Amino acid sequence: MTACPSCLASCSPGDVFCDACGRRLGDRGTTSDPTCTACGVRNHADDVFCCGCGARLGAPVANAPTGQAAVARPAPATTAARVSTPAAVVPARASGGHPSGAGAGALPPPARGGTRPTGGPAVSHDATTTLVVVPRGQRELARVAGSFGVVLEVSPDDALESVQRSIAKSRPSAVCLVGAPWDLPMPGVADPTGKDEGVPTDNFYGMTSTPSEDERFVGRILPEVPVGRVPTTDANLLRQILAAESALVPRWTPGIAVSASTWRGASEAVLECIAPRGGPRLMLAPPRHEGDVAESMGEQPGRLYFNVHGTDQEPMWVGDDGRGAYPAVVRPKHVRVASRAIVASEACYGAALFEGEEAISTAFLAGGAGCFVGSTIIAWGPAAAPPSLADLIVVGLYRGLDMGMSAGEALLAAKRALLEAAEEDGEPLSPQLHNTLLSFVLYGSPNARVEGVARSSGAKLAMPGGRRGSAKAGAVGAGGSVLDQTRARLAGIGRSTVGDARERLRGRLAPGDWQALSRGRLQLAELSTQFRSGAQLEQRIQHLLGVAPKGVEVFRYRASTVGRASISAAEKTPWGTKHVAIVVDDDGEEIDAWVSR
Amino acid sequence: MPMGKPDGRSEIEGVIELRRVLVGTRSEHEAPVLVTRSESGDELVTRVHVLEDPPFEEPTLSRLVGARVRAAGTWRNGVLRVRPEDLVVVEGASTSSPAVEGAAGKGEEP
Repeated sequence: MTACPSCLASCSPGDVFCDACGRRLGDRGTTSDPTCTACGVRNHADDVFCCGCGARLGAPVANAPTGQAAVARPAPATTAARVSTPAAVVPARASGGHPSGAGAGALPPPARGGTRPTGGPAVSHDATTTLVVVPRGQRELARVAGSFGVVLEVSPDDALESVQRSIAKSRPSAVCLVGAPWDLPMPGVADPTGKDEGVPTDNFYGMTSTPSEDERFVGRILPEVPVGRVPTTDANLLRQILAAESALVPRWTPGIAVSASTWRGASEAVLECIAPRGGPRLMLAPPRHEGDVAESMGEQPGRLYFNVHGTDQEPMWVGDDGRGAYPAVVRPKHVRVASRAIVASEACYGAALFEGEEAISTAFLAGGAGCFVGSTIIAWGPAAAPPSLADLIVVGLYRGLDMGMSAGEALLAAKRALLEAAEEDGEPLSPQLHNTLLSFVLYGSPNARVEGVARSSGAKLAMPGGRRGSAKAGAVGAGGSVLDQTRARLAGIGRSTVGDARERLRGRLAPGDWQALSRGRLQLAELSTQFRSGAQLEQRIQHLLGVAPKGVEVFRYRASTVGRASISAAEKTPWGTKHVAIVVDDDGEEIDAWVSR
Repeated sequence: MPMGKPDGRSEIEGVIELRRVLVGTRSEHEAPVLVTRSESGDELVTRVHVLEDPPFEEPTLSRLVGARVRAAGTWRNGVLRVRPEDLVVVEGASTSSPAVEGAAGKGEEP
């Protein structure tokens, strides 16, 4: 058996094309091309410098240890290569090197000027088994990508299938997609809430096959390996972003946190969780506005957290005072430099990209950010504590990174924590959770890590196949506010105990507070205890669903000045899982309703 | 009802009214929308965005509440996106409307 040089899939000696990725075997760049004597990477015939380590090809390198990449130029001691893949299958990768011998020290300046991203040439060496997916024909991209993992070139038409076949065969440690969605498609599914035309996601690029709707709603919705996307075909920018690996800013100083005023409660709870030892003061918009935020970001924004509005119509995020004022807080032009920054945004459409249009997410990446996490569609979350859905994605991301996880692992761990907490109910996912698990994507390398933080065993626990309790503790565990801790405890203990704890919490809170805080499953008949029009709601849900559901999920929130609740239920049918959701006011009067296909 | 245009854009005529949009999400808010009513009384509500206007405030459309307008643009995620010059006031324009069509008394030039 031989290995495909692109995707590592096992191929028979007589194969002309790789079954997994379709690459012609024996192509230029496979068997006959110059192999770097320093790191073992195969190069193109006309390469002068190694695309793996930057060494001049043909230069002798002495004492390269077995199973470990020799480094042709000085590299930080912390970046010692860890090559565990059999040498016969995968060429060992060196780190810190760059095509054309440039090295990270010669990184191009950020697109928007200012200083070059700091942090030096730290490159994660566990990128050996990272599958870096590049649009076919982008030779320079492939050259750069080859420094950071095993390159799989794909055509847009069958990109997803090619990647999934490759994952099934070679089991990479992570998948890094290169290119914007119009270069490398971001697959989507129908939106069960009916609010968006679809739910674009990169999750499926980390799976061996695309799950059906039924499968997603019973929990097969998360990637099996961490996935990240570098949404550019600019080779210099790709090199810059991937070079941020192991160099993400380690602290909240500098850092900023911006919230819509009306969501202050939820944002404060999140901030308590992600910056427990003193983080930035929460900037509330209004009164704060884009000028204040731009000034605070300055030349070194560090860590950033945004809980503001976003739209898919204009590249801007806005605040909200609950009384009709929506001041702009961020536009792409405000992002000048964001060296090694970590950006987490709960803004709706925070990660949506449109061809030919600027985006805040890509402005951060162009400015040097190493990690951007946001939603491709409406981001679902509460206006008040306790944190849920989008909030917990942010909490999990930062907690995971600070535990030593990579950005891809941390995002995945956060999603797993949400999923596992929901699975304890034994019911299909709510449409809002379904969308949250799909729509939050990582822009940046999936291997990006915080500078100076050692890997922890927790990182492994949060990975697919890890124990659910550990994943939960890692993502939303100890620390934070009383409510957060309570919620974390509720999520991590048995169901009967959960009920007891809920009742205790209920007893400690004023009825109004409990109403605002409660989010969870109820028996259908309990609707009458929650809403004045509960009886009608019961009938309405039964009518829409066709049967009486075992339970309903009630999600309370505030929209501007009015209270709202979303009541959703699901039921399995011979044709799939049917979902209904009704939006009601404080009295339970119906405002909107939708039913899944 | 939406009418297709040769350039792939859609054109809708209706009255600008304030309605709550994005109901069921935490972005629910009151916004000017384009309402078209059929003879049978059926109502078609279309979210419209004037390009480069602040999306949550829609100042151009807010000034046209109550006016009958014709809007031509392209769709994105259920929202008709129009350039200011493609928003034509047919009737009931305020003094600050972006474009006015028709005889005197049906509106004023901006």
